[in-house]
Amino acid sequence: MNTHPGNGRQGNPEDIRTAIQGAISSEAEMYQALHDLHGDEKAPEVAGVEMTVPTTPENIVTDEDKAHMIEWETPEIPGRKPKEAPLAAALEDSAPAAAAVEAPNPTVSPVERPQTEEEKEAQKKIEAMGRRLAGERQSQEASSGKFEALKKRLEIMGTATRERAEKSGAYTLEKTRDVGEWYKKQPLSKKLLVSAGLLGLASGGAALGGAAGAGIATAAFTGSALQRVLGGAATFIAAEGVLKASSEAYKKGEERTPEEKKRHTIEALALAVLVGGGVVGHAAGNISHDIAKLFNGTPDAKPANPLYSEYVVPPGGTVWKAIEQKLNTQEGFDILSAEQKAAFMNTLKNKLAAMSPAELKAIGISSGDINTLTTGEKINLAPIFQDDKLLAHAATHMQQVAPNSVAPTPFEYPEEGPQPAQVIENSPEKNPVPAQVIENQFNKQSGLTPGSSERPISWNNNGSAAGRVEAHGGTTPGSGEAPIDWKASTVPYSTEMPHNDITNETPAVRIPKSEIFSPYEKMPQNIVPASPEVLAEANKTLQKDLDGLFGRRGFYTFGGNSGVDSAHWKDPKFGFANKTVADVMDAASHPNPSVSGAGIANHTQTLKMKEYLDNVRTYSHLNPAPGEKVSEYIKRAAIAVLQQQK
Amino acid sequence: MNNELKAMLAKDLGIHDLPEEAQDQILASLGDIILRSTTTAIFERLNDEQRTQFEQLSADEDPSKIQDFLTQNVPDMPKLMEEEVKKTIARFKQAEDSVVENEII
Repeated sequence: MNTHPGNGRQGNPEDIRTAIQGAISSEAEMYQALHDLHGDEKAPEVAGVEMTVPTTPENIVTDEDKAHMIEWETPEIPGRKPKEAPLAAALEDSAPAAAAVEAPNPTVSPVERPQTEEEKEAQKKIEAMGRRLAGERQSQEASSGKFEALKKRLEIMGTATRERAEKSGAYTLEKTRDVGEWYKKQPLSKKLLVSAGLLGLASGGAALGGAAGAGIATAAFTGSALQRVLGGAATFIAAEGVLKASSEAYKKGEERTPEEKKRHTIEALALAVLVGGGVVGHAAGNISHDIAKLFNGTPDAKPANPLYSEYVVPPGGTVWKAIEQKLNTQEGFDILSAEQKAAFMNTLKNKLAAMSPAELKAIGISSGDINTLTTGEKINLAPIFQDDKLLAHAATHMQQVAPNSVAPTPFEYPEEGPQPAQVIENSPEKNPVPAQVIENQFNKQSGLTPGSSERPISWNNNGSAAGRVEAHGGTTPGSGEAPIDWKASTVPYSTEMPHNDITNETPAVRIPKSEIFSPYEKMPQNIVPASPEVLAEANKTLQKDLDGLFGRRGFYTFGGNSGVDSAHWKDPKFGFANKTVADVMDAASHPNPSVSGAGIANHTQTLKMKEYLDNVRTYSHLNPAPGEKVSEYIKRAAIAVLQQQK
Repeated sequence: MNNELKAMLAKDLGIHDLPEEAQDQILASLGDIILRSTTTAIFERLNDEQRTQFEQLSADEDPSKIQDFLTQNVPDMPKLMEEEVKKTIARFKQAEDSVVENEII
């Protein structure tokens, strides 16, 4: 079937008409095209009926048309008059009339005359239209073919997923199906958010690789539009898309039907999976409703990002410090290891170093030299932070230098000039961390409020120990008791520490309940785990609590980061694991705590650890031994508490 | 989904030449497969006792409790999910390669 008009071959008139009508957007254009093809002719008189051929598009009729029209349309036929019959209707009704729009064929065309230039031009146009139509159709067919093939493949993959769940047993199958049904019920927009989260965030972009991976990695902490959407999207899922129904009813304590309960359970499961995998960056209890509202209301609204604001050079300020300060305003940057941060910042700094003096002046470095900043001048680093390619390159370099794991070696901040002003600005005196923040954090974790007489076994709500003990005596947070002199404890301590090679010869120390709540000085300090299980549980307690303090669950690009692996714990120079309890509790133990350092060099983290150790002491009723390291003290205290319950 | 992000994902998955509606369908389908396979992988790890515990927690419908439970009992959950995502993408990209090889395009 040939559908290309104007090729000189007898084609199916229906197809030709369809082709032309498809190519031409309006009837008027069609008339014009035909007019161009056949020209303006005055029809001869036929059978007494004078038929004129006006040049207007409304009624262009060729000699052929007229010849054919005689057969089917004469003044004798009631209700039909040639003068009033539009050409479109003629085409509609008459195959021969439609055939008249064919390009003249020198061998077949009944109109034997050479084509005019206009006719040739019109014919070329129609041929071009036909080719374009054919090309588009081919392209559509190709895309359609690819899409159909991929759809089929996805169906096969879906079936394989279902079969795997079936093989795992009825229980797993039920859970998998529940989650699948939850997903299916979501509108497309939410499905795409979840999908983006799973594809990009859960994998840290690494699974995708390439531009997407680096872009997502970049976006996670550079404040680009991508990051805002990702952050907003993830929070949106948690705040609005998933929890809404369940939380509202749950909070109101409303009676729910069994179906509603099941739905809420499924939602909770789906959210838990998404949170656990790092798709949702916030725990369910810490949802930022502001971000959710922002995302809900005006998707294009962009809150002011400190990343793009000017950097006012303080005394001793450097380009390195400027970059660092800006990046520290971005969520997620603080969880990177020192090596990762340095690798990322190096790339940006190198970019600045490569700029010409004129370019540097344009961004506010009046000297034109990145090593010479003037106090008080305002530097605009926004062009750097908005350069997505540069940021992607920096992220890639960072992953190459320091892959998804906390670097064990300490990072020495480069010496660049005198004492950095930012540290002074961020000193505890100038920017104290509100106590309420920390209190809420631990209270949230423990589920208790300050002053409550009940205390969980685990001071950090690890959930591994059952039961509760009542606090009798001892200091209580907020109790107003005098602070403890951690270094000057007079209680005799045992230096014997629990260790893994417990033998049966080591007697178990079981503390009678009556002695548990006596003042500290009567508390036996020689705590030995009664069994390997107790030791294992104590280790688990430590890990869980450290996760709560320093860990990140699959945060955006870098998958999960356990507390034990965090720089705040492990860093050989500043990590809490290698510090004594006294070091941590002594506020002056580190000269210049900042908000960007690791472990004890980080003001915020040190306050957290202090609070935590306070809780450990309160709930375990154990004092730390002189010179006892934080890790040893926590484990010893955990063993003591766990054995109290056995 | 942000257009920029979608364009990135589409490019990496090799579906950027498809119409937008087709891209959306494919992305949504991939999300479904990953979510379900991840859930299967997670629950395969739980023994009977843990499943019982899970059911008790589920009764509260508190995502944070469920999340805590999963984190505690499947501590490598993020890594698990990452592997499932990688596997799914690899299988999908394999499918794409065979589409090209078969000259369907």
